[in-house]
Amino acid sequence: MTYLQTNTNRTRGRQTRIVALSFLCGIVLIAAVVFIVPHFFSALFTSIARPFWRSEFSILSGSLHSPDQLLRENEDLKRQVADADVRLETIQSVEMENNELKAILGRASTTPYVLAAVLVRPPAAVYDEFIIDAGADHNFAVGNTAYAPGNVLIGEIVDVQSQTSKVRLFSSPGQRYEVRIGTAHTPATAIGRGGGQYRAELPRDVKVAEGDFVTIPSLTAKPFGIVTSVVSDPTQPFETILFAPSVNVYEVRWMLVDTKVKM
Amino acid sequence: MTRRLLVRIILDILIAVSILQGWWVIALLFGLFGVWYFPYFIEIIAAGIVYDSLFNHVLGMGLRSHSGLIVSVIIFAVVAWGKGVVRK
Repeated sequence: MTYLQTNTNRTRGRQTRIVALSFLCGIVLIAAVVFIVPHFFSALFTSIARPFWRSEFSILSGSLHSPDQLLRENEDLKRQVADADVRLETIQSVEMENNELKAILGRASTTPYVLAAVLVRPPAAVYDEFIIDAGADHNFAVGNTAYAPGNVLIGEIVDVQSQTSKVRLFSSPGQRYEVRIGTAHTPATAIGRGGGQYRAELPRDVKVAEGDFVTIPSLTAKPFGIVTSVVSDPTQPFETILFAPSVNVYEVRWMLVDTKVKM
Repeated sequence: MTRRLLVRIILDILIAVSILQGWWVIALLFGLFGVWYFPYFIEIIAAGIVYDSLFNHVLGMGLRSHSGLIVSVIIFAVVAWGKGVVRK
């Protein structure tokens, strides 16, 4: 009895070669697009994802809450605003005096901030990055500084799309930044540890305590962080200072971007 | 529509939602299941490309900005080889 021979092995081998070739062609095509137009895929998928992120932000902001809940929240917020107004008047008078003194010294400056909503924050976005709801449409540029509410400097813009931007935190692992620590404003280099945490090393005889402020070396001396721990080993000549900004980066929902300053 | 195709579509939707939310661990777990269960599950490579485009593409990051694509290609290749070995 003879059996009809089927070329299944040859057919399967040819199929595998076709699939592998298609796969390689796909990879080459994608690499070519990324090389020629670097922001093509980033802009495309960001524009697709942005409506979903905006919807999620709206929902979290309370657009689906019941009317009673919204009314209660409204009343609470009105009370908080009234309390904040009283504090603001005091702050405004101090700011005015500060600006007058700076103007006398010839260094008066006004920095317009642009408010942007945070669409994606750590830990969803890796490498300590935020995606915010403003980009080239608000004249953002790579290097603009970003502040959390309370004027806390936390990062800089590293990528700008038409309507969104990426903000990388200064605490991103490996990032280095020159700071001043404590009441003596001791210079040091802050190294990012991720998650809004920093560390710096100072000589052991420098007096630094938990709760001391960490500032950046600029005229306005904006707050950068607060010392959370001082790790000292008597056998070592240096002590490790751990500090973090006064805001929890995982809870930041709004951000202020200074479009005049570039790092 | 076959049941297998329906499961694949549901899995693709779950991976897409996970990627949009930035839950790369969950997307990776779904992707691992899909690449083992289905033949030629290239959705995992597409997911890597989309994740890189949304969250990783920053100039100056070098290969780290393509980590999603690299990991997904490695998983696809290793599991395809493993399936070939195990199911011979």
